[in-house]
Amino acid sequence: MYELEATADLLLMNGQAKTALKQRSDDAMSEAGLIEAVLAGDRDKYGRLYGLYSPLVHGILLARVPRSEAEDLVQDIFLHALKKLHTLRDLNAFGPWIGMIARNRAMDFHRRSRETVEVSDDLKSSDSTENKAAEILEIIRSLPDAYRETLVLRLVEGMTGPEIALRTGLTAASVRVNLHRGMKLLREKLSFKEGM
Amino acid sequence: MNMNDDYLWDRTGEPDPEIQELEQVLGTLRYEAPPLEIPAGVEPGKRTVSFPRMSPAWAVAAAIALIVMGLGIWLGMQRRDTPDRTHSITTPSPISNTDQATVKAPEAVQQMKDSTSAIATNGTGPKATPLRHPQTTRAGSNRRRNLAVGNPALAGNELREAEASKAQLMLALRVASSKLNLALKKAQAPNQGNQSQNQHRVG
Repeated sequence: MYELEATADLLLMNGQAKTALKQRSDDAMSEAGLIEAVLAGDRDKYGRLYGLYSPLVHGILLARVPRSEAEDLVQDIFLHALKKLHTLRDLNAFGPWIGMIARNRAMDFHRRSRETVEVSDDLKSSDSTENKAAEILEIIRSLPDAYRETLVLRLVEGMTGPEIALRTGLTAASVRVNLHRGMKLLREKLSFKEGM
Repeated sequence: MNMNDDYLWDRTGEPDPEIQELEQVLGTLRYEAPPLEIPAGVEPGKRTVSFPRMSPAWAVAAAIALIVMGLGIWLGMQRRDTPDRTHSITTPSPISNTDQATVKAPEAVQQMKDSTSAIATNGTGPKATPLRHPQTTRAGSNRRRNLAVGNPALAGNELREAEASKAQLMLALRVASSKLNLALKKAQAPNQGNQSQNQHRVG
Protein backbone atom coordinates (compact mmCIF):
# COMPACT_ATOMS: atom_id res chain seq x y z
CA MET A 1 0.00 0.00 0.00
CA TYR A 2 2.83 2.37 0.92
CA GLU A 3 4.52 1.68 -2.39
CA LEU A 4 1.34 2.59 -4.28
CA GLU A 5 1.00 5.84 -2.40
CA ALA A 6 4.63 6.65 -3.01
CA THR A 7 4.17 6.06 -6.71
CA ALA A 8 1.14 8.31 -6.77
CA ASP A 9 3.07 11.08 -5.06
CA LEU A 10 5.91 10.65 -7.52
CA LEU A 11 3.62 11.86 -10.25
CA LEU A 12 3.00 15.10 -8.35
CA MET A 13 6.56 16.35 -8.51
CA ASN A 14 6.81 20.06 -7.89
CA GLY A 15 9.22 22.67 -9.17
CA GLN A 16 11.44 22.35 -6.14
CA ALA A 17 12.00 18.69 -6.92
CA LYS A 18 12.83 19.55 -10.51
CA THR A 19 15.42 22.04 -9.28
CA ALA A 20 16.88 19.35 -7.05
CA LEU A 21 17.07 17.01 -10.02
CA LYS A 22 18.88 19.63 -12.09
CA GLN A 23 21.31 20.19 -9.23
CA ARG A 24 21.78 16.44 -9.04
CA SER A 25 22.72 16.23 -12.71
CA ASP A 26 25.21 19.11 -12.33
CA ASP A 27 26.89 17.43 -9.37
CA ALA A 28 26.86 14.09 -11.13
CA MET A 29 28.92 15.59 -13.95
CA SER A 30 31.72 16.47 -11.57
CA GLU A 31 31.55 12.99 -10.01
CA ALA A 32 31.93 11.47 -13.45
CA GLY A 33 35.13 13.48 -13.80
CA LEU A 34 36.36 12.13 -10.47
CA ILE A 35 35.66 8.55 -11.53
CA GLU A 36 37.45 9.05 -14.84
CA ALA A 37 40.46 10.39 -12.93
CA VAL A 38 40.41 7.36 -10.61
CA LEU A 39 40.23 5.02 -13.59
CA ALA A 40 43.21 6.84 -15.04
CA GLY A 41 45.15 6.00 -11.86
CA ASP A 42 44.56 9.01 -9.60
CA ARG A 43 44.02 7.46 -6.15
CA ASP A 44 43.53 10.77 -4.35
CA LYS A 45 40.35 11.36 -6.30
CA TYR A 46 38.97 8.14 -4.89
CA GLY A 47 39.49 9.63 -1.44
CA ARG A 48 37.17 12.47 -2.48
CA LEU A 49 34.57 10.00 -3.67
CA TYR A 50 34.91 8.20 -0.35
CA GLY A 51 34.33 11.46 1.49
CA LEU A 52 31.22 12.17 -0.57
CA TYR A 53 29.65 8.73 -0.39
CA SER A 54 30.79 7.14 2.87
CA PRO A 55 27.82 8.64 4.83
CA LEU A 56 25.45 7.14 2.27
CA VAL A 57 27.08 3.69 2.49
CA HIS A 58 27.21 3.88 6.29
CA GLY A 59 23.56 4.91 6.46
CA ILE A 60 22.45 2.08 4.19
CA LEU A 61 24.43 -0.40 6.28
CA LEU A 62 23.29 1.05 9.60
CA ALA A 63 19.68 0.54 8.55
CA ARG A 64 20.41 -3.18 8.19
CA VAL A 65 23.39 -4.36 10.26
CA PRO A 66 24.79 -3.65 13.77
CA ARG A 67 26.74 -0.42 14.14
CA SER A 68 30.18 -1.98 14.67
CA GLU A 69 29.74 -4.18 11.61
CA ALA A 70 28.60 -1.22 9.55
CA GLU A 71 31.79 0.72 10.27
CA ASP A 72 33.98 -2.23 9.25
CA LEU A 73 31.96 -2.91 6.15
CA VAL A 74 32.17 0.66 4.83
CA GLN A 75 35.89 0.39 4.10
CA ASP A 76 35.51 -3.10 2.63
CA ILE A 77 32.79 -1.88 0.29
CA PHE A 78 34.86 1.06 -0.93
CA LEU A 79 37.86 -1.17 -1.62
CA HIS A 80 35.65 -3.64 -3.45
CA ALA A 81 34.11 -0.78 -5.44
CA LEU A 82 37.58 0.47 -6.41
CA LYS A 83 38.45 -2.92 -7.86
CA LYS A 84 35.20 -3.09 -9.77
CA LEU A 85 35.05 0.57 -10.79
CA HIS A 86 35.80 -0.28 -14.43
CA THR A 87 32.52 -2.21 -14.60
CA LEU A 88 30.47 0.92 -13.83
CA ARG A 89 28.73 1.72 -17.12
CA ASP A 90 27.19 5.10 -16.26
CA LEU A 91 29.78 7.25 -14.55
CA ASN A 92 27.03 9.54 -13.25
CA ALA A 93 25.47 6.69 -11.31
CA PHE A 94 28.21 6.00 -8.79
CA GLY A 95 25.88 6.63 -5.82
CA PRO A 96 23.15 4.17 -6.82
CA TRP A 97 25.84 1.67 -7.79
CA ILE A 98 27.75 1.73 -4.52
CA GLY A 99 24.44 1.87 -2.63
CA MET A 100 23.44 -1.39 -4.29
CA ILE A 101 26.79 -2.92 -3.36
CA ALA A 102 26.18 -1.89 0.26
CA ARG A 103 22.67 -3.42 0.29
CA ASN A 104 23.99 -6.67 -1.19
CA ARG A 105 26.80 -6.76 1.35
CA ALA A 106 24.29 -6.28 4.18
CA MET A 107 22.24 -9.19 2.84
CA ASP A 108 25.38 -11.34 2.67
CA PHE A 109 26.16 -10.41 6.26
CA HIS A 110 22.74 -11.63 7.41
CA ARG A 111 23.04 -14.82 5.37
CA ARG A 112 26.39 -15.67 6.94
CA SER A 113 25.44 -14.75 10.49
CA ARG A 114 22.04 -16.44 10.45
CA GLU A 115 23.15 -19.32 12.64
CA THR A 116 25.12 -17.18 15.08
CA VAL A 117 23.47 -15.36 17.97
CA GLU A 118 23.49 -11.66 17.25
CA VAL A 119 24.41 -9.57 20.24
CA SER A 120 23.77 -5.96 19.48
CA ASP A 121 26.86 -3.89 20.20
CA ASP A 122 24.64 -0.86 20.41
CA LEU A 123 23.19 -2.10 23.67
CA LYS A 124 26.60 -2.64 25.30
CA SER A 125 27.29 1.07 25.63
CA SER A 126 26.99 2.55 29.09
CA ASP A 127 26.22 6.02 27.76
CA SER A 128 22.49 6.73 28.14
CA THR A 129 22.35 8.88 24.99
CA GLU A 130 23.91 6.12 22.94
CA ASN A 131 21.54 3.61 24.51
CA LYS A 132 18.61 5.78 23.56
CA ALA A 133 20.02 6.19 20.05
CA ALA A 134 20.41 2.44 19.73
CA GLU A 135 16.83 1.90 20.84
CA ILE A 136 15.47 4.42 18.32
CA LEU A 137 17.64 2.87 15.64
CA GLU A 138 16.12 -0.52 16.41
CA ILE A 139 12.67 0.97 15.92
CA ILE A 140 13.72 2.53 12.63
CA ARG A 141 15.09 -0.84 11.51
CA SER A 142 11.65 -2.34 12.06
CA LEU A 143 10.16 0.03 9.45
CA PRO A 144 9.82 -0.89 5.76
CA ASP A 145 13.08 -0.77 3.75
CA ALA A 146 12.41 2.43 1.84
CA TYR A 147 11.53 4.39 5.00
CA ARG A 148 14.27 3.14 7.30
CA GLU A 149 17.05 3.87 4.84
CA THR A 150 15.82 7.40 4.13
CA LEU A 151 15.25 8.13 7.84
CA VAL A 152 18.71 6.92 8.83
CA LEU A 153 20.30 9.08 6.14
CA ARG A 154 18.28 12.08 7.32
CA LEU A 155 18.38 11.69 11.11
CA VAL A 156 21.69 9.84 11.66
CA GLU A 157 23.90 11.01 8.81
CA GLY A 158 22.38 14.48 8.79
CA MET A 159 21.74 14.59 5.05
CA THR A 160 18.91 16.74 3.72
CA GLY A 161 16.20 15.41 1.40
CA PRO A 162 17.78 16.83 -1.77
CA GLU A 163 21.16 15.38 -0.75
CA ILE A 164 19.60 11.95 -0.22
CA ALA A 165 18.00 12.15 -3.65
CA LEU A 166 21.31 13.24 -5.14
CA ARG A 167 23.31 10.40 -3.62
CA THR A 168 20.85 7.52 -3.90
CA GLY A 169 19.58 8.25 -7.39
CA LEU A 170 15.98 8.36 -6.17
CA THR A 171 13.74 11.20 -7.28
CA ALA A 172 13.31 14.08 -4.88
CA ALA A 173 9.56 13.43 -4.73
CA SER A 174 10.13 9.81 -3.77
CA VAL A 175 12.57 10.76 -1.01
CA ARG A 176 10.16 13.38 0.32
CA VAL A 177 7.32 10.88 0.46
CA ASN A 178 9.52 8.28 2.13
CA LEU A 179 10.65 10.82 4.75
CA HIS A 180 7.11 11.97 5.44
CA ARG A 181 5.58 8.50 5.77
CA GLY A 182 8.59 7.07 7.58
CA MET A 183 8.54 9.89 10.12
CA LYS A 184 4.83 9.38 10.65
CA LEU A 185 5.34 5.68 11.36
CA LEU A 186 8.32 6.40 13.63
CA ARG A 187 6.30 8.90 15.66
CA GLU A 188 3.52 6.35 16.08
CA LYS A 189 5.95 3.67 17.24
CA LEU A 190 7.79 6.02 19.60
CA SER A 191 4.54 7.26 21.21
CA PHE A 192 3.35 3.68 21.54
CA LYS A 193 6.61 2.75 23.29
CA GLU A 194 6.43 5.75 25.64
CA GLY A 195 2.82 4.85 26.45
CA MET A 196 3.85 1.38 27.63
CA MET B 1 2.94 19.01 3.39
CA ASN B 2 3.23 21.50 6.25
CA MET B 3 6.07 23.57 7.72
CA ASN B 4 7.38 20.59 9.72
CA ASP B 5 7.67 18.60 6.53
CA ASP B 6 9.80 21.40 5.11
CA TYR B 7 12.09 21.14 8.09
CA LEU B 8 12.23 17.38 7.70
CA TRP B 9 12.92 17.82 3.99
CA ASP B 10 15.71 20.41 3.92
CA ARG B 11 15.79 22.03 7.38
CA THR B 12 13.95 25.09 6.16
CA GLY B 13 10.81 26.47 7.73
CA GLU B 14 9.80 26.17 11.36
CA PRO B 15 11.94 23.59 13.22
CA ASP B 16 10.10 20.59 14.63
CA PRO B 17 11.32 19.99 18.23
CA GLU B 18 10.74 16.26 18.01
CA ILE B 19 12.79 15.95 14.83
CA GLN B 20 15.48 18.14 16.35
CA GLU B 21 15.67 15.86 19.37
CA LEU B 22 15.86 12.79 17.15
CA GLU B 23 18.65 14.43 15.12
CA GLN B 24 20.54 15.18 18.31
CA VAL B 25 20.21 11.68 19.73
CA LEU B 26 20.76 9.72 16.52
CA GLY B 27 23.57 12.08 15.46
CA THR B 28 25.80 10.30 17.97
CA LEU B 29 25.77 7.29 15.62
CA ARG B 30 26.94 9.37 12.67
CA TYR B 31 29.82 8.02 10.67
CA GLU B 32 33.05 9.89 11.12
CA ALA B 33 34.93 8.62 8.17
CA PRO B 34 38.50 7.61 8.91
CA PRO B 35 40.83 8.13 5.96
CA LEU B 36 40.52 5.36 3.43
CA GLU B 37 43.62 3.20 3.35
CA ILE B 38 44.00 1.63 -0.05
CA PRO B 39 46.36 -1.37 -0.04
CA ALA B 40 49.09 -1.36 -2.66
CA GLY B 41 47.60 -4.20 -4.70
CA VAL B 42 44.13 -2.72 -4.98
CA GLU B 43 43.63 -0.91 -8.26
CA PRO B 44 40.70 -0.35 -10.55
CA GLY B 45 40.51 -2.84 -13.40
CA LYS B 46 40.98 -1.79 -16.98
CA ARG B 47 37.91 -0.78 -18.90
CA THR B 48 37.21 -2.99 -21.85
CA VAL B 49 35.65 -1.54 -24.98
CA SER B 50 32.49 -3.47 -25.49
CA PHE B 51 29.95 -3.33 -28.28
CA PRO B 52 27.28 -0.86 -27.20
CA ARG B 53 24.00 -2.43 -26.33
CA MET B 54 21.47 -1.86 -29.07
CA SER B 55 17.88 -1.31 -28.18
CA PRO B 56 15.33 -3.58 -29.93
CA ALA B 57 13.97 -0.61 -31.90
CA TRP B 58 17.42 0.15 -33.27
CA ALA B 59 17.99 -3.51 -34.09
CA VAL B 60 14.73 -3.65 -36.08
CA ALA B 61 15.58 -0.40 -37.87
CA ALA B 62 19.02 -1.72 -38.77
CA ALA B 63 17.52 -4.96 -40.10
CA ILE B 64 15.02 -3.03 -42.24
CA ALA B 65 17.79 -0.80 -43.56
CA LEU B 66 19.84 -3.86 -44.51
CA ILE B 67 16.87 -5.42 -46.33
CA VAL B 68 16.19 -2.18 -48.21
CA MET B 69 19.85 -1.93 -49.19
CA GLY B 70 19.82 -5.54 -50.39
CA LEU B 71 16.69 -4.94 -52.45
CA GLY B 72 18.19 -1.80 -53.91
CA ILE B 73 21.33 -3.62 -54.99
CA TRP B 74 19.29 -6.46 -56.48
CA LEU B 75 17.02 -4.08 -58.41
CA GLY B 76 20.04 -2.15 -59.60
CA MET B 77 21.56 -5.33 -60.98
CA GLN B 78 18.27 -6.24 -62.67
CA ARG B 79 18.08 -2.84 -64.33
CA ARG B 80 21.67 -3.13 -65.51
CA ASP B 81 20.82 -6.40 -67.22
CA THR B 82 17.64 -5.16 -68.90
CA PRO B 83 19.04 -2.37 -71.15
CA ASP B 84 21.73 -4.71 -72.45
CA ARG B 85 19.10 -7.17 -73.59
CA THR B 86 17.06 -4.50 -75.38
CA HIS B 87 20.20 -3.07 -76.87
CA SER B 88 21.22 -6.43 -78.24
CA ILE B 89 17.77 -6.90 -79.69
CA THR B 90 17.49 -3.49 -81.27
CA THR B 91 21.05 -3.26 -82.54
CA PRO B 92 21.05 -4.30 -86.18
CA SER B 93 23.52 -7.06 -86.85
CA PRO B 94 25.90 -6.52 -89.72
CA ILE B 95 24.97 -9.86 -91.28
CA SER B 96 21.46 -11.25 -91.32
CA ASN B 97 20.75 -14.81 -90.17
CA THR B 98 20.13 -16.12 -93.66
CA ASP B 99 23.21 -14.45 -95.01
CA GLN B 100 25.28 -15.86 -92.19
CA ALA B 101 23.95 -19.30 -92.90
CA THR B 102 24.67 -19.05 -96.61
CA VAL B 103 28.03 -17.44 -96.19
CA LYS B 104 29.32 -19.68 -93.44
CA ALA B 105 27.64 -22.89 -94.53
CA PRO B 106 30.54 -24.33 -96.53
CA GLU B 107 32.96 -23.77 -93.67
CA ALA B 108 30.57 -25.32 -91.21
CA VAL B 109 29.99 -28.32 -93.44
CA GLN B 110 33.69 -28.82 -93.70
CA GLN B 111 34.02 -28.63 -89.90
CA MET B 112 31.25 -31.14 -89.38
CA LYS B 113 32.79 -33.49 -91.92
CA ASP B 114 36.09 -33.25 -90.11
CA SER B 115 34.52 -33.96 -86.77
CA THR B 116 32.51 -36.95 -88.04
CA SER B 117 35.57 -38.43 -89.70
CA ALA B 118 37.50 -38.01 -86.49
CA ILE B 119 34.81 -39.88 -84.60
CA ALA B 120 34.80 -42.65 -87.20
CA THR B 121 38.56 -43.16 -87.19
CA ASN B 122 39.65 -42.51 -83.61
CA GLY B 123 36.44 -42.73 -81.70
CA THR B 124 37.30 -39.38 -80.23
CA GLY B 125 35.67 -36.26 -81.37
CA PRO B 126 36.29 -32.70 -80.54
CA LYS B 127 36.18 -31.95 -76.86
CA ALA B 128 32.62 -31.98 -75.70
CA THR B 129 31.63 -28.82 -73.98
CA PRO B 130 29.93 -29.50 -70.65
CA LEU B 131 26.27 -28.64 -70.30
CA ARG B 132 25.83 -25.29 -68.66
CA HIS B 133 23.03 -24.08 -66.53
CA PRO B 134 20.57 -21.93 -68.51
CA GLN B 135 21.02 -19.03 -66.12
CA THR B 136 24.77 -19.15 -66.31
CA THR B 137 24.69 -19.37 -70.09
CA ARG B 138 22.34 -16.41 -70.17
CA ALA B 139 24.61 -14.52 -67.86
CA GLY B 140 27.52 -15.56 -70.00
CA SER B 141 25.83 -14.34 -73.14
CA ASN B 142 24.98 -11.08 -71.42
CA ARG B 143 28.56 -10.73 -70.40
CA ARG B 144 29.62 -11.47 -73.94
CA ARG B 145 27.23 -8.82 -75.21
CA ASN B 146 28.63 -6.35 -72.75
CA LEU B 147 32.14 -7.19 -73.80
CA ALA B 148 31.18 -6.89 -77.45
CA VAL B 149 29.62 -3.50 -76.88
CA GLY B 150 32.27 -2.18 -74.51
CA ASN B 151 35.46 -3.64 -75.98
CA PRO B 152 35.82 -3.62 -79.75
CA ALA B 153 39.13 -5.55 -79.64
CA LEU B 154 37.43 -8.61 -78.21
CA ALA B 155 34.32 -8.16 -80.31
CA GLY B 156 35.97 -9.48 -83.46
CA ASN B 157 37.01 -12.83 -81.97
CA GLU B 158 33.82 -13.26 -80.05
CA LEU B 159 31.69 -12.42 -83.05
CA ARG B 160 33.57 -14.84 -85.25
CA GLU B 161 33.08 -17.63 -82.72
CA ALA B 162 29.43 -16.80 -82.38
CA GLU B 163 28.88 -16.72 -86.10
CA ALA B 164 30.63 -20.07 -86.57
CA SER B 165 28.57 -21.74 -83.87
CA LYS B 166 25.42 -20.20 -85.26
CA ALA B 167 26.19 -21.48 -88.72
CA GLN B 168 26.80 -24.95 -87.28
CA LEU B 169 23.52 -24.84 -85.53
CA MET B 170 21.65 -23.68 -88.62
CA LEU B 171 23.23 -26.40 -90.70
CA ALA B 172 22.34 -29.03 -88.16
CA LEU B 173 18.78 -27.76 -88.13
CA ARG B 174 18.58 -27.85 -91.95
CA VAL B 175 19.98 -31.37 -92.08
CA ALA B 176 17.55 -32.45 -89.41
CA SER B 177 14.60 -30.80 -91.17
CA SER B 178 15.49 -32.31 -94.53
CA LYS B 179 15.76 -35.75 -92.92
CA LEU B 180 12.42 -35.22 -91.26
CA ASN B 181 10.89 -34.21 -94.61
CA LEU B 182 12.31 -37.29 -96.24
CA ALA B 183 11.01 -39.52 -93.48
CA LEU B 184 7.62 -37.86 -93.73
CA LYS B 185 7.45 -38.43 -97.46
CA LYS B 186 8.43 -42.07 -97.04
CA ALA B 187 5.83 -42.49 -94.36
CA GLN B 188 3.14 -40.86 -96.47
CA ALA B 189 3.85 -42.92 -99.63
CA PRO B 190 2.60 -46.33 -98.29
CA ASN B 191 -0.46 -44.70 -96.73
CA GLN B 192 -1.44 -43.26 -100.08
CA GLY B 193 -1.20 -46.72 -101.61
CA ASN B 194 -3.35 -48.21 -98.89
CA GLN B 195 -5.90 -45.49 -99.32
CA SER B 196 -6.19 -46.27 -103.05
CA GLN B 197 -6.45 -49.94 -102.27
CA ASN B 198 -9.13 -49.30 -99.76
CA GLN B 199 -10.95 -47.06 -102.15
CA HIS B 200 -10.71 -49.74 -104.72
CA ARG B 201 -12.09 -52.28 -102.32
CA VAL B 202 -14.88 -50.02 -101.27
CA GLY B 203 -15.63 -49.00 -104.82
